[in-house]
Amino acid sequence: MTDSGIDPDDGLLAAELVLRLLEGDALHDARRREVAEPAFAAEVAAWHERLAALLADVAPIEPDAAMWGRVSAALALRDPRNNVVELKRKVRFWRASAAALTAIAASLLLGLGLGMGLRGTESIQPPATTVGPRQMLIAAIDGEGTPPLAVVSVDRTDKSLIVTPAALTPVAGHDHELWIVPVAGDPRSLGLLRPGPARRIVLADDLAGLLAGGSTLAVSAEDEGGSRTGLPQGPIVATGTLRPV
Amino acid sequence: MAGATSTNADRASGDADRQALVRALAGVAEGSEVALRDVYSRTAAKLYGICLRILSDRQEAEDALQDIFVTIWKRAGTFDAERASPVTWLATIARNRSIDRLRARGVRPFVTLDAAADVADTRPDVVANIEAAQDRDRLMECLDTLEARQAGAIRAAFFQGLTYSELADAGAVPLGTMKSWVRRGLLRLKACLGE
Repeated sequence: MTDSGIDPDDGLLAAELVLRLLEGDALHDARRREVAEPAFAAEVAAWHERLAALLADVAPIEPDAAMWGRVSAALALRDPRNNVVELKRKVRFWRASAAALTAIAASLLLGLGLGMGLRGTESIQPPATTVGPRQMLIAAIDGEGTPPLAVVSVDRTDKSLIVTPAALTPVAGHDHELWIVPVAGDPRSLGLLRPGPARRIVLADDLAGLLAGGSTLAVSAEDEGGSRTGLPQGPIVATGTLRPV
Repeated sequence: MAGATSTNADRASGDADRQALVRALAGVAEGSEVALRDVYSRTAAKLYGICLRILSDRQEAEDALQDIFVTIWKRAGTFDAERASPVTWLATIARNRSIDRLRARGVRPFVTLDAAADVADTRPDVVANIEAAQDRDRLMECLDTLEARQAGAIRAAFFQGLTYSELADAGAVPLGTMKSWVRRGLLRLKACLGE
């Protein structure tokens, strides 16, 4: 058993999280602890394994033969060169979350308008103006079934990134770290992710080059101060894919 | 029963399936369509079965399945074979996405806390290998040791995505009573599985 002396109440909370019994503050608190506390996360994983045995009884049923085509079309895997078509299809597919993303994107675009003159890592002021067409990408970074920990928008015109912390709660002794995950090669750190106002980061050319439509961003839970090795040491707790807006 | 007749050959075959699935997920994490197709051909029937079980609607289940494979495509990089079994990881995504849809639909056409209503269909399949069948047998034995109302509530939460307050409404009992049933059931279940 993975039962390394975890508090019985924590064990129950892990099971309640896995079963999706929790709501409101209790749910948020449990998710926060899953991110911040490896022992608790291990207990969550153990309950996933225990209860997944219930699914062993579910009879497999062949889906319609056209189903793979739908999946493939949703991802536009067949024509990776045609980014515009691919991303349009993806956007169409993700229409369920589009409304929320659009609202966030709009506020970020507005925020960007005022933040344009900033350099380095600085707080972004509340939105006050609009901007013209720019090469903008946006990603909501969320865990499995969790609200976004952060929303990241990338302005490819000036190689900058705006990170807006969302459902992110500080935990003593731990930090969240944001990563770009290239298609090939190791993840590269984009810095720590802490609660607070939106922040703008100007990227070095090599990092900026990694940020494109379809790029994956990830958040890991690290010891305070972030990973010491330049690679994620803690678990990846949330991911997101950049899409054009 | 599969558990009683398991052989070394069965176990080796289960391990090989698992390893192949782990490799395929690693390929998906690197953006390989071929690898995703491999994951699909190995697991789509199982995952579609889970969608149908939870959603009870073919169209909804197909939409959920598409959603699930997009999620797999997006999140394969977060799968860690050291921490989780690939089948559990995939099945958990299928259950969560299906419950998301169920909750988004808002209306629960049929809610029951009757433990007997959710009894097994009994067809362990290729994906659910011998090891999984043994886990399944053990979990069923342990669920059988719970009071019917405890097991019923746990099953309803698992397959119907009911929260504590929804379970309390469905069972027409106070929230505190429902929490206490479920927690006692979970503690007992864990103790039984740990034996």
